[in-house]
Amino acid sequence: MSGSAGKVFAVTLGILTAIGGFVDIGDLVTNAVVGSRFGLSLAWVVVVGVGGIAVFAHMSGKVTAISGRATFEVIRERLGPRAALANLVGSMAMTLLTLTAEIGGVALALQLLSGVVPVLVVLPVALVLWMALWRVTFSWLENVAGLLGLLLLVFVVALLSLGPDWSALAGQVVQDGPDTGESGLTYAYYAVALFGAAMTPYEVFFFSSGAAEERWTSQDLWRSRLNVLVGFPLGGLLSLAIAGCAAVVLLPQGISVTSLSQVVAPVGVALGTAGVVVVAVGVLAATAGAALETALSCGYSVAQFAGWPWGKRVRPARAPQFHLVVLGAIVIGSLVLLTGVDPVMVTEFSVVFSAVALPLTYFPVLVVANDPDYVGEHTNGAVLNGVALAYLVIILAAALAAVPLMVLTRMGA
Amino acid sequence: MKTVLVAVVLLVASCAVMPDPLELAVGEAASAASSAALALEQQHRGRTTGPAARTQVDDALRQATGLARGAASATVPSVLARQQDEALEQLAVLVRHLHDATDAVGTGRAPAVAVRLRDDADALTRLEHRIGAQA
Repeated sequence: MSGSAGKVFAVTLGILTAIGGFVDIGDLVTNAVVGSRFGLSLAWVVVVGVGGIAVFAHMSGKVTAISGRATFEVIRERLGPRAALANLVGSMAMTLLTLTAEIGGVALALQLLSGVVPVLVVLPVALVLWMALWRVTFSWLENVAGLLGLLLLVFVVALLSLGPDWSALAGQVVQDGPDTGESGLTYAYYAVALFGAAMTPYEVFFFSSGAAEERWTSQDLWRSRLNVLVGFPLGGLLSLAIAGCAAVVLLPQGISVTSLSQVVAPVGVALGTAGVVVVAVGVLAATAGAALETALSCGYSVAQFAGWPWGKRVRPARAPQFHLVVLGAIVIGSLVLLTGVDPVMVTEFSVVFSAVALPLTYFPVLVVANDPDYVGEHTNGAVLNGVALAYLVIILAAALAAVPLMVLTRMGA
Repeated sequence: MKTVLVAVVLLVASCAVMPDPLELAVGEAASAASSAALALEQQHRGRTTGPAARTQVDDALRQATGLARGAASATVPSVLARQQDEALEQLAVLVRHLHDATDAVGTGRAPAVAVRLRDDADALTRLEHRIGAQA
């Protein structure tokens, strides 16, 4: 392949995997729940969330590409070991919760495909995930999971096939607050949950550590910009399609989504059996990919904080602690699921606590992205800083409101 | 001390602003009934797979069983005592129909069971509105 053709291929692959890797169990469940209860009246949150994760990922990718240091190395350097440890504990708890939800999502997807009881496949799934992390290279993991995740574009096809009343959907998008008998507090709770689903911290740990895995330099900043400015918004469109399908099929029938089987049901209504198979495989790929990313993110975070060798590019024998943390995270997530806890319930907790944990990593990254000692001449410009500061306010508001809203609405009941 | 105070205020406020738990349970049961009916209808039309339809019906059964248990143990205001009895009765019928539904997946009985589940959903929705008006 010639140099320019290779470059185009790399760019296309990066964007496609950014789209396919954007949606995980949190996006699937939360968007479908919201669509089935509020129509598209919370679509604005997806837009805000996608903008936020794009800003966050761009800043952390830039810091890594230029300084050569990943998120938790930087956080420890800037905050000192004690504050960074508290930060690590909060972020790790969040990422472990997300990993548990993703492994549960894989088990539920297998149930949709084969009828097997989820709790029976948790351990085999965990074993396969760990073997993939042990044996397969980083780029293969990222590309295969991301490309298979593109099967979820079937939600877009399904929404178009359903032939909805587009003006009614547009009316839901611009309406002010809930219009389906739901309370304003419940609407606010799901706004925070949807924001947390779009801005999951592990995505940024993975993005910035991945930049280090692929040895990005300042020459690669354009790749970061393309991925976050093209790939993430298109991934956000996919989220909106999931909510749209639920709004068109489930909301009129009074079905509030509480399970993954209901998330995929509208695709069957639109496209029949073939659609159900495609969406189930897509869910399997998306959750398995996200499980791999969250497991790696656990290893990345702890190893970066502790100063251990880390990454898939380092041979396991030279990074034993990193691989032990990854293995330990998978074991913990699996054991939680073996208690019989509902993975969808874990998912609902994980997206809300994502919103709570977000400031822990967002704020230090914003500070470092303005520090010439780390990023040289690539410090944030005035516009990016304005947007990033506006997001800091939104993130803090969401973090403060999340738990009170959870209590007040009894988890959005 | 402040944390405890905030928690108490939030709990009291949640009781004041949220619908009655019985109303919520009945509404969720109506949703479960419709979901299972949709799964049966879709499979009968050949528009979903057996495992997907069965999973959707099993999920509805598990949800309805949990809701029936919760409604039975819920303490409701005296004005809702009659509605609670009615809810328990309707939830028991729903659970029975959902057991029928699990047996009916992939058989010729699926459309008839789906009709019964749609009727259950309608009855539960009417009850939900009555509880809402009363509470």
